[in-house]
Amino acid sequence: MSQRLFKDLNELVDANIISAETASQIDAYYQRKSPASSNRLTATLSVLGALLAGAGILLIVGHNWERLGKGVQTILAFTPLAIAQAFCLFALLHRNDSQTWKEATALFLSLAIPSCIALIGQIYQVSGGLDSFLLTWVALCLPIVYIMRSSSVSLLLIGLITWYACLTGYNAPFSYRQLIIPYWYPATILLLAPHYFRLARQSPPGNAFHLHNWLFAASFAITLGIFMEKDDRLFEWLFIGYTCLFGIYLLIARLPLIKQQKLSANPFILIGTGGILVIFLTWSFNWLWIELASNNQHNQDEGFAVSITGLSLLLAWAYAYARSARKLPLTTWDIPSLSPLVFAAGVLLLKNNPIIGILLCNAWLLLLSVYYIRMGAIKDHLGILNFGLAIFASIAILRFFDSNMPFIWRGLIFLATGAGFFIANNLILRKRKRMAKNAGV
Amino acid sequence: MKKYLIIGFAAMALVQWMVPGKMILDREIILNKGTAYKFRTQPVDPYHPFQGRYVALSFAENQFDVYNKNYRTGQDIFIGLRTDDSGYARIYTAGLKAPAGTNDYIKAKIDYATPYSRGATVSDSLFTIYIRYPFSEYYMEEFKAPQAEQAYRELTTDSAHNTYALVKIYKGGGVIQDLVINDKPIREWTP
Repeated sequence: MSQRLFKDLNELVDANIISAETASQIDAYYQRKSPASSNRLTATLSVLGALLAGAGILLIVGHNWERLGKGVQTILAFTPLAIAQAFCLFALLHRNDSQTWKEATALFLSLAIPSCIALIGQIYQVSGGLDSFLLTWVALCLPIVYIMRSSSVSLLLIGLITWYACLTGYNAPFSYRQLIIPYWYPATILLLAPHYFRLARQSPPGNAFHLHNWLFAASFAITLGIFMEKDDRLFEWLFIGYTCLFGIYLLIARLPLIKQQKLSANPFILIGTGGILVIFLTWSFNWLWIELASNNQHNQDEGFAVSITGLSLLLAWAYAYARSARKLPLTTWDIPSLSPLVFAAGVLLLKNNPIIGILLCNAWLLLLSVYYIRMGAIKDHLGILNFGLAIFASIAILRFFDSNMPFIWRGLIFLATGAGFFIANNLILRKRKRMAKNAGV
Repeated sequence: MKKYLIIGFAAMALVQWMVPGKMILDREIILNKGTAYKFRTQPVDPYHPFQGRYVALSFAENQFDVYNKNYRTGQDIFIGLRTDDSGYARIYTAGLKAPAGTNDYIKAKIDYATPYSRGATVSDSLFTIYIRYPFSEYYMEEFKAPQAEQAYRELTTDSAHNTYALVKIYKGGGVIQDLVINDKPIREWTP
């Protein structure tokens, strides 16, 4: 317990605000609580130490010690690996109850492996490329996740396999050139899934579970473009695919296990909402609609084309939505998670009507803005209310640069946005004051 | 439960030694049994986030004409090698199968394939394939590599200097033994 709290307790007892008995109960509560938080700190510091030590070895190896000769270099390559394995074995045999020991030694081992491969790569001038280096690293580290039950290694592997997928699958962002499809990416994610579900079953879910959620959500969003078919005729499907992924994120965010968490521990709602807004804001301009219309005209002779990945995602979203809607009453239906349907219907049916398409995107953004403003007002939450107003402001700002709209309309939209911010915040603050006053009476 | 964990750990540790061990073994076999070839080189830019700095190599002998239009980028291709009259490596055959009766061939990848064209001569049936060798990075000590790279870049563009990579070749594999400038290994070379 902190000195300050101890002092405050004494002060409260002296002033007869709490009894000495209550003070001692509070004291005992904090005494009980402190070991847990100090354990967490030790675990974090140990993992950080292992990470720094491992990264240090990797960098020292990067220097290239060619003057030491092949024999000494080979011994040096295997030394960190042998030490790390010895530490892991010690942790398994003698510190099996300590998650801190297991996490730190496992992470150290998972960094000793690449240093060994890198040194041998230098000695024998191996030119396999970074992608095959990363894949060998991931393959050799995967068993560590389960044998050592290590979440930090699992997180490292999600990062590494995402890097590998981007290296092999992306030529340039949104490029149509088809490169090699990195099938090892979904395979690795599937192999890490049992560890993730084990973390999800823990009650209450710990930091490792939240960090996995963040990394998985970000990784899927980064790599989805790799798995979409690269074809001129299917360019709208890339956006449909992403809208469906973000729509699914919003439905995951409604699961009880995720919904109870703080906003910072809910990447699905943050990435999902952000992604959907970015897509609709981008399509609220006319250039993508014009490209879509000209593409459609150009490709009419080649017949109907559909993206298998995009269609699968659309079906997956529809199934998830139907399941989710069955469980929730109609009134609590979430408008943002309907976005994939609106977007897919818009771009597929309005290919030759860019004007109606643009109006649809702007109208949907406006509806989302009203939805969040209303939700903020109902929940008495200034953050949500201002988020809704911020969406409205974004539409206004983007339309400011839209030369197709008359100045008078743009001016009026800006005035309305400014007034909206002022009035809505004022109303909520007044409501709060009134409620506080009533409670006081 | 703990018994299974220990068995699992032992298996994992073994594989973690076997993979780098196999890397060493494969290359030692090539170095001991392989034939040395000199590959004339041309230069480019150097860095691997884990293995460190290197001199990036591209080889003059990197194309071959074939009567097959079905070759694709990234496809594996077996390259048969011989030494020419001036002592440098020359491709004499390229195909999807290893050449018979010799150990002196490389399993490389096709960088890209284009219809044959030399000046005014263009062919419909002949194609030129460009080859990506499995050895294109020469790793060096961090502080030496940039200087070596610069020297190498300057000297390879000047035909009066003789720069080549000495590569041991054996049954599809290749290991760079040395990078040589004017008959002196690049490690010993000072500007």
